[in-house]
Amino acid sequence: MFGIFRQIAARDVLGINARNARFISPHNPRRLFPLVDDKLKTKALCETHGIPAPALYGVVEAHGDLRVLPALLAAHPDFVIKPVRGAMGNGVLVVTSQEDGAYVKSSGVRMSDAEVRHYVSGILSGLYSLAGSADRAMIEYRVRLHPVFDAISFGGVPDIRVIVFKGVPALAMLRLPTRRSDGRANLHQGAIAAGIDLSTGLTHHAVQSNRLIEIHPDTGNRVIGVEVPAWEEILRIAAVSAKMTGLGYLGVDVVLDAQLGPLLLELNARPGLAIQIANFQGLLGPLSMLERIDTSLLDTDERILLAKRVSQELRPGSAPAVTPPLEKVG
Amino acid sequence: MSLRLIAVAAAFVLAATGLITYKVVWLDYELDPKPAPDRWSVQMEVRLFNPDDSAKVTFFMPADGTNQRIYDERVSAEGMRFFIRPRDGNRVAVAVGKPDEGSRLTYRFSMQTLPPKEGELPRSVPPIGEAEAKQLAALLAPEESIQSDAELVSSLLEELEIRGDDRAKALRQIHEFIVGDVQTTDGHDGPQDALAVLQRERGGVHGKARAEVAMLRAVSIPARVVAGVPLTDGGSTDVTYWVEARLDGRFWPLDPTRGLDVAAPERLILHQGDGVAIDPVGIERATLAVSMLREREAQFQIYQRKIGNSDRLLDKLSLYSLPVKTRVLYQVLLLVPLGALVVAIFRNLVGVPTFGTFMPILISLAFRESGIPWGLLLFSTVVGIGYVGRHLLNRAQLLMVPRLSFLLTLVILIIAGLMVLAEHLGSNKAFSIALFPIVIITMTIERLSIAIAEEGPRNAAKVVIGTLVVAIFGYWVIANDTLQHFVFTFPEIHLVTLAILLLMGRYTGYRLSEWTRFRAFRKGSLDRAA
Repeated sequence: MFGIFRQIAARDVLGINARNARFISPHNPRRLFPLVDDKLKTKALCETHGIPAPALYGVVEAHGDLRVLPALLAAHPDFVIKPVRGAMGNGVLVVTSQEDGAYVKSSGVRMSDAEVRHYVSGILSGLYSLAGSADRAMIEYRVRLHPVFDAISFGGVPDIRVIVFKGVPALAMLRLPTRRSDGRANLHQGAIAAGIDLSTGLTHHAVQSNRLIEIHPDTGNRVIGVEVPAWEEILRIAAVSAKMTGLGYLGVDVVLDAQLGPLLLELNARPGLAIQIANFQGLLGPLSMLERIDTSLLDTDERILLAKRVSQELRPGSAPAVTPPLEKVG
Repeated sequence: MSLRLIAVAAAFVLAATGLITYKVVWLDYELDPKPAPDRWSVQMEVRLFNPDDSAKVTFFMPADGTNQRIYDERVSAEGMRFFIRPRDGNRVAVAVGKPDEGSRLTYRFSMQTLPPKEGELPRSVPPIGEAEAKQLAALLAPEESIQSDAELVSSLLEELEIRGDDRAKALRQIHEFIVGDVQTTDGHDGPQDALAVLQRERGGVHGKARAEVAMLRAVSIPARVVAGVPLTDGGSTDVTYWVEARLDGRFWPLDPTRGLDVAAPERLILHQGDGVAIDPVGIERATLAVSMLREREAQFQIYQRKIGNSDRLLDKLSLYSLPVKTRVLYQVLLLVPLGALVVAIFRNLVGVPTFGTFMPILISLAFRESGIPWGLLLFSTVVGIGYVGRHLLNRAQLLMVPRLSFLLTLVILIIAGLMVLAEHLGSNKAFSIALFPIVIITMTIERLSIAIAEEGPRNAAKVVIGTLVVAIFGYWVIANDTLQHFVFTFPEIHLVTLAILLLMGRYTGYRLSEWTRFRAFRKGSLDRAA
């Protein structure tokens, strides 16, 4: 509407209004939202479609179940507790070990039995759920940091976000926790976002709080030119996730486990737009190309191939050469 | 944007324009109504300082007369017994009891000023007849402070060559003398009785009025002192005095500080005849303040009457056919859609983050009662104290519902405390916080503390500021009287609101906030981190 947006529009940047009206509304039927908003439903879908996901240890359905919580947790030295209907990684508690009856958080802080129970009861009351309504808490496998990421993340596990449109990956980024983001992969809290070249799986561009960055501020290692391991598998997970939920416009979050490889962490029916800054590339580029293509008859491999071809067309320059990770600093 | 949607929106706009045009052109509705010129809301406030156990205060209350109609009277006497008594054709209020220090008596009423009688002061009037003199004896006889029988008065009249054989001429001469030759002071220059003022040839308004009445009575013109206040919109004034002289069968107002050719301002008459406006007994000091406001609501009443008596279908279907209580509610409710429009504009076109979708509007509605500065102050105080409370509560690790209920109780107590505090500071804005949506405030505090914990104080502050900015803009819309009147008279304007919302709902352009968010794409590169 205003001339002041000319340059932004020329770069194919997708705005929130356009995302909602042009992509989410027509491509994401409301009735499918529960499949991604409810992480247990997502997990069940993963199982039937052969998508690897962190193992589920148990679910706390109601306050009455809190009594059996210690027994449930005792069986697992480390675990993650999260709200079934949480958003943006809110309300996630990561316990890395148990020592003399206390739970040690990833930050090193110890929590007593009572504190964990209060925490879970907060989840049940709906403190972290999307609409503030009552929720359940799920306890699942704690993802181990992959050695490749050990050099470029601080205090937490990075994840990979892929935006999938009509079953075809459109844009991807790697989110790296920092000291500033408190070990979380939340961009607005100061995590690093690195754009990933879809065809090669190499990070080509990275930002922290809207500023260009090449070196992880806490580890001193380069975050550009990193090759994301098992990239093909990650693309497969993204493409299949879109198909299994039926959502046309989807954010797929994948984590890389040291032993198990890529695992689907969660899906998002209203994925954010910061991925464009991480890639320094507008989403409207791939999205409007894919809008004109009928992808409904393509199988998973064909869709991944299409994703790579679209990516190469929009980002013709070769990605920077792979740089070997340095020794971890600090 | 689909053509069908645009067509629907256009149809809405056309329908609204059509209806409004029809109502204005054929049914004589006014687009921009004039404020009622003759209706006022007046408040008289008496403050008592250092009262005894058996205090008594008497003050004059305005009464119906040829110049004014009094209605909708309300009294609040703060623990004193309150009577209204007639006295010599006036009304006096008597309050008796054991008031507290600084107690207030407030008397509020509405008044309508009646147009003054047409006609000019007669050129020549013969001496007074016997029958008339008998009938108006009280207005001719000397009084304690109006010594019309004093020697000084008669010698002064002689000196000025004023005689009673043409009373119209005498009146003009006397008035000219009082206005021109007696200096006007603030009334603190000595005794203010007629004789003293005439001796000094200067005095306050009250003294000059008494002097003029004394001289008028000395030439057999029935006259009296009148006390009242000039009406100024939004003003607050002291009691003033003037003279009414009876000639040719009617009373003529004479302002002892103005010539006859200067038109007197509109005035509220408090009492006729000499007297002090307020008489405290057993009280060290009592002050009387009169404040007034031109009524705007009156226009609604005029419409209501006009439309209520009409047989036309559109008039019958209009909102003016609602009972007053419902009408007052709908006057406000009909502005809420405009507030929602403001929110939609700020969120979807500008991209201002807010707590909840309609929270800003609810805050604007609360601001209606208190105004912006007070509203903001009260809102931030309550939320601030509540946040500290919530923070301390965090350690107790309560379950959510009891915690929210705890917070709700806390908010109500904070508001009660602030009301008491404001009352003691003498602010009448205090009651307005009671109207704040308490549940909304509670949820604000809860969401604020979660936002601070999860997204950091910076992001939380952004959302708070966003919410308040939108609430302030919403307030400008919701508290606009002209707009309120317009929307109430032409509710079909909301078809246009709907049309705008329809179009805005399909707006896929950028938000203003994205201009900064994606500034890297504007500049062609990102800023490098330091």
